Amino acid sequence: MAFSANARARFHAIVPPNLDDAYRLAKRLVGEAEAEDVVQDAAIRALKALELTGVTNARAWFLAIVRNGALTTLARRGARLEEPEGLDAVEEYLMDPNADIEADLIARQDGAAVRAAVDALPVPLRETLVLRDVNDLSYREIADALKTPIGTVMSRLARARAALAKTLGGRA
Amino acid sequence: MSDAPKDREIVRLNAALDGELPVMEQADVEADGSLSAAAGRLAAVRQAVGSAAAHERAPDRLVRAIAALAAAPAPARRRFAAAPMALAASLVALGLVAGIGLGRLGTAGTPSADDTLAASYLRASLSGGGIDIASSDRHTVKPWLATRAPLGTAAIDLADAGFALVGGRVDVVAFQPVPTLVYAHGEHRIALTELPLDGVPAEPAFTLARGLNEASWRDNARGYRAVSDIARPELEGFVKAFRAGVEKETE
Repeated sequence: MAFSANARARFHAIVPPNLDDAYRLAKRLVGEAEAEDVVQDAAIRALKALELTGVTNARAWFLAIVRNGALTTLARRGARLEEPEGLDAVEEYLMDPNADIEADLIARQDGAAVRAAVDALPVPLRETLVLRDVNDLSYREIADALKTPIGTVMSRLARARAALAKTLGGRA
Repeated sequence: MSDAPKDREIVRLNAALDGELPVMEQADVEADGSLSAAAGRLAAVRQAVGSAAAHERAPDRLVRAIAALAAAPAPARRRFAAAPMALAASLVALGLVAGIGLGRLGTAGTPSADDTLAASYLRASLSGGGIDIASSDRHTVKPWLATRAPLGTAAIDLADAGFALVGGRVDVVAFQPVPTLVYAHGEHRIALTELPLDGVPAEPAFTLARGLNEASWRDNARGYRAVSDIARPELEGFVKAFRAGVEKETE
C-alpha cells in the first residue's frame, strides 16, 4: 500500500505541524508510556484517510483521530469513561469574594502540579479541557471532535476548571 | 449538571473567558462584579493549564517516525550483513529448494500461504537479506509495514526473551501484501507473518515441512504464521514469548 503523492502532500501539511499538540493530548489522556503509540497509530489512520479525501479543518480533524485512538486505549485498560455527575457545588468556593489570593496561588503552581491535577480529572472533563486550554480548539471544533453538543462542552469545561481551581487553589 | 442560576453563571463566565459568547452577553458577564473573584481564579487555571503543556514537545523519535511515514514510496532496501548467517544454513536451504522443485512445482493453482511463506523464508536465507526495513526499533518497523500492507502488525520486540527484532518485510500471499516481522535467535532467523484470520487455528499448531519448523495460531484480531529453521522447542518458546508480548500490549 504505497501512498499517492496527493495523500502524502496532504499528510505533510496536516500532521507534522500539529504533532506537538497531538502528543500533548495523547499524553494527558493515556500517559507518557503509550502516548507515542497513540499518536503514531493516529498518523497512520490519517494517512490512510487522506488517500481518499481532503479535509477542511485539518487540525481539529487530526486531533479528533488522536482522541478517538486514546479513548480506545483507555477502554482497553478498563478506564472509566462515563460522564461524572454534578457541578460539584462550584459556586461555594468559586464565588467566594474573600479568596482573591487563590488566583495567585494557582498562577504560582509548577507545571508538574498542574499536569497531575489535570490527570486526576475524569476523562470527559479532561479531554474537553485539554482540547480547549492546551490545543486551543474552539467550542464548535471540540463539539465536533467529541460528537457532543456545545452545551455539554461548556458544562464540562466549567466543571473541569472549577475542579482545578479547587485543587490548585489549595482547597482540595 | 444542575440548573442552579449560579452554575449557569459559571458556565457563561467560562465561555466569556474563552471569547465564545455573543458580544452583548460578553459585556454583561464582564460587568458583573459578583463574578470577578471567580473570573480571576478561572483565568488563572486556564493560563496554568496552557503553560504547563507548553514545553511538552513530541519526542524526536516520534517526529522522525511520522516524517518517515509519508516519505517517498520507494523503500531503501537495506540488507544486513550476511556474515552471521551460517554457511551451513545456506547449503541446507539450497537442498531444500531443490526438494521443492521436485516435489511441489508441478501442482496447479495458486500457491498456498504455507508454500509462499516457506519460499520467502528460503529466499531470505539464501540472499542473507530479505529485510525491507532493517531496524530493531518497533516504532520504525510498525509504521513502515502499516503503510504498505493492509493488516497492521503487533511489532513487538522480544529481545528480553532471546528473540531480537531485526526488521520487517512485505510478503505477498495470493497476490495480497502481508506484513512479516523478522526476528533473530542466535544465527537463525524467524519470520513471523500476519495473515487474515480465515482458517488459522486458535491454538498454535506446529508442523515440520520442507525442513522448516512452522507454527500457526491466532488471537482476537490477527492470524499468525511463524517460519524458521530453529528447532521445534525453540520455536515453541518464540511463539509463547510472542503471544505473551501481544497480550501485554493489549492489556
